[in-house]
Order: sequence, then C-alpha cells, then structure tokens
Amino acid sequence: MSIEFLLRVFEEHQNDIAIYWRGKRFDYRWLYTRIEKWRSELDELKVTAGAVVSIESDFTPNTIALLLALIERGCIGVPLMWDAPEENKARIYRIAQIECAFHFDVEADSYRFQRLEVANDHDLVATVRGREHPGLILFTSGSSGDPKGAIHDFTGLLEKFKRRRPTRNMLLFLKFDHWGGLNTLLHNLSNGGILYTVQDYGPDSVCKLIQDYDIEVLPASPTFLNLLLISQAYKKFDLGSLNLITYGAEPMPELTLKRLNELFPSVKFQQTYGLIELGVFRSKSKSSDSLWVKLDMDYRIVAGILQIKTESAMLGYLNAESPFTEDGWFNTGDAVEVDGEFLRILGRKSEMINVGGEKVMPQEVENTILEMDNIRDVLVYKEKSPLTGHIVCAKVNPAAAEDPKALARKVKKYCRARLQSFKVPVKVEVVDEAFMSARGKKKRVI
Amino acid sequence: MSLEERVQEAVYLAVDETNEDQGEELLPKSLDTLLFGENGRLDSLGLVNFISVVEEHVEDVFDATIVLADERALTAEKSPFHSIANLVEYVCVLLREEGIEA
Repeated sequence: MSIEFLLRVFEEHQNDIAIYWRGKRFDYRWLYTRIEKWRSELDELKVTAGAVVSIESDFTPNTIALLLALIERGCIGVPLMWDAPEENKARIYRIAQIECAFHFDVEADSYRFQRLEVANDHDLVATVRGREHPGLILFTSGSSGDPKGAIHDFTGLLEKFKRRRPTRNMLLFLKFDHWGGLNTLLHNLSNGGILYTVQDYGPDSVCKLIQDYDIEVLPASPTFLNLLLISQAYKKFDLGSLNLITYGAEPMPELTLKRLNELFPSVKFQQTYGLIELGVFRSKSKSSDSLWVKLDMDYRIVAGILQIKTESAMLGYLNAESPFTEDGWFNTGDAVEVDGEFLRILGRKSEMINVGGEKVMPQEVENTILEMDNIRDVLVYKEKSPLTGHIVCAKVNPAAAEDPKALARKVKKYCRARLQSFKVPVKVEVVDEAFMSARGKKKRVI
Repeated sequence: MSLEERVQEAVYLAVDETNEDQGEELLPKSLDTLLFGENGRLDSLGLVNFISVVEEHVEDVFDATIVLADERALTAEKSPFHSIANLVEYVCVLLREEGIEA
C-alpha cells in the first residue's frame, strides 16, 4: 500500500490537529477514520484501481481524505480547482479521458459523484495501470491552445516524503491543482504537521490567517507578494510569527524582493523551483535578497535553456509530443544565467521578446517599471511588428489615477534612461486592473 | 483646413514629442525630412517608435485607429516611411478609406 507510511504518521499523531478549515479543526484520528470511510464509499461507487478520477474541489477535509484514499486504491487522480472556467474543465475532461468525477461543494464539503461513459485507452494511462501504481495527472496552464496534461506515477512522487523532516506552521497557500499545493500537503501530512487551508487569497485575509494561527512559513507567488506590498495589508496585522517565505512559479522582480527584505528583516526568503512535469525540487537561495539559487538535482544548460534529469519526472504528456531529449533530459523552456553553482531563472523562453534579433525578457522591463512611483502593477508582453519582428508593449496599472497619456510618456522616459533602447516599450497602455491570473501568475499572452 | 493640413499637424505633434523625448532635434519639422532608408534619420527601432507616436496623435485628432506598419505599408512602391511628406500622404489614404475626408 503506497500510503502506509502516511497512515502510520496519522496513528502516531491521532490526537494532534491535522487540518484547520473555515475555522474548524480536524485531528489526525478524524483523517484516518475518514479515509477508512472513503474505502467503503469507493467500493459502493465501484471506483476501482486504475480508474481515472477527477476531483473538482479545493483543499477541504473530505477532499484531502479522498485524494489519499484514491492514491491508496491505485487510481489515477486529476485534481481540478472547483472554480476553473467550465470551458477549461471540459477540455481537461476530454484530454484526460476522465471516467469518474467527484464534484465538490467546497463550502459544505459535500460531493456529487458522476460516472462518465468513457473508457480510458491512453497508452500512458495503460503504463501506470500495468505497474499497478497510483497515478496523478496535472495540467499546465497553457498560454495558448489546449492545456497540456502531464501524467505521473504517484509511487515515485511519494518517495521523498518518506523521510521525516521537521514541520513548521505552514499556510496551504498554493493551489490544489498544482505541485506547489500538493507538495505542501504531503510534506505536512507525512510529518504530522498542521494544514492551514486558505479560502480567500486576498492579502488582508491571508495576513489575518498568519496572525491568527502564528503561521511561520508562507509559500507564495511573487505576484501575491507584490500585491501584499501594494495593499500594505502587513501594516494591519501582526506577522511576527513568520520566519520563512518561499516563492516560485514565476520570476521574482528584483525590487519586490528588496522591499520584502527591508520590510521583513527577520524573515528568510527562499526561492523554490518546480514544474508540473517534474515536481518540486529542494533548492537553496544564495541569500534572502538574492535571486540566485542552487538546485539540488541533475541539470545542464543547453543554449541558455535549463534541462533537468530527475527520477520524479512525469511519464509524458497525454496530448503533446515528449519534451524529453533522447538521453532523458527534460527541456524546461526556462532561460537561465549561470554563476558557478548558482542559477538565475530569467523566465520562459516562449515569453522572450525578439526585437530585431535582440532578446528582451519581459521581467526585466517589468522590474524597471515597478521601480517608478505610482505603479501598482505592470505587464510586459510582445506584439508582432513587420519592422522588427516583435515590439515591447506594456500595460501599467497606476496606484492612484493619473492622466493616462502623461503616465505612458513618463513610463517610456523612465525606461529610456535605464534600459537599452530595444527594451523600451513602444506602446504603453494605462489600465484599471492588476494582472494576476487565477493561479497567481501573470499571463503574458494578450 | 484640408485633410492633408490636419494630418500634417498631427504628424508634427509626433515629431515634437519624439524630439522632446530624444532631447535633440532628431527630426526637423519639414515635409522634406527623410525618415527611414537612405539618408533617413531613423533606424528601425526609431521608426517603430515614431510610427507608434504618429498613430496615437492621429487617433487623438481624428478619433480613428489606423495601423501604419503592416505588410501593405512595407511593400508599397512609394514607401510611406521614406519621408514626412510620404507619411502624411499615406495617413490621408488610410483615413479616407475610413471615410474621413477632413
């Protein structure tokens, strides 16, 4: 049984709290018992080993227990956020060939079961079934076209959680349908830690949770941390319990990290690196205020792009060509700089802007614009130009209303004084909204 | 005022803005000023920027969105980007196509 090591932890910690959810607490005994109950419910529902099962939910107590029961049973789980757009869900159901679905009401923590008229015949699903292992399918957000489904053998993914590590009060901030969230979940459960679930991702609510539950570790995204700075929510709450903030999933603006370090001098900032296709790796930032990071894995740099080889890699995509090289390296598509044993992740190569042969990373331009007064958020993206291939464009969201034309000119002028001319945005549009997507990342496809 | 005169005014506003931004008189305010190509005063990046500023000013004056840099402009026998005179003429063509006469 693949979750036996977890069940042993649950028994040892049966009187300890496992989950805080909407002001209620659930101990490890409850979790253990709920998994037992799921076993008989899954029997009744005839959900058998190898079934491809979606869980449309969020981190609720019943969902967490169900996920573990499905792993134990050898099912192939597909976690989806309950509030994902219906159109995205429909595409995911089609691509993953989902056979059974649990639709959760995340407020009541109740579910509706659905059996679909589908018999999954995907080769990679057959591979996992042949091994009699549990599986996991996660989807990339996909900047254009269909999202890509990455299928994993769950047995390999669980391996690293078997080694006991210390736990600290950690907020379950990252999402249910992403490695970040699953990693926090499994790390805590495998060490008898407490899962503090988040329902409202606004800076005020998150800061209140940190204050109320003496949260020590906040795994976050740079976009959220930017929002935290802008909202100044940290002024209204006591965040003294925090001692570690981890960030990943997208490049961190240099200035954001600098300001965070100034505001939270006793907090350590640690960059993480993970991909839907590979899982999350152990990493070490050079220092709290440094964007240079040491990755604990086999990697190589080919033409400026990071390639990784790891045991925990997915088997492949359900709906795309294998991204692995012939000798088994995964091409991350992330452009990096190297300094000895440290790397600096610059960003997705696909987001790179090519202005007459000169390469521009949107983050660098965004970082520069963010230094300006009265800029709340900025999105830098490319537009096609018949003259230079691409041009650099920016949308800026001011903190206080300002004449749009004057602000646009100010932005260009500011960039012109600091960046090489090909990096200066040709078009600057002033907009009312910020740019965080549902997953807390910026989408640079306009 | 004729359409040509109004367009010329809008283009000159773009010239002013560009010169101001560059901190020098990069583009003399004259129909004879050569923009891009042989003896032109702009490189491709400068042209991309100038065109964008012209588009903005034309939009302000005529309340119409025009796209100056596209395949058609690049393959035109008489390049709209050769001189300010050519550019003014081309903007007038585009505006007339939008039904704007003056």
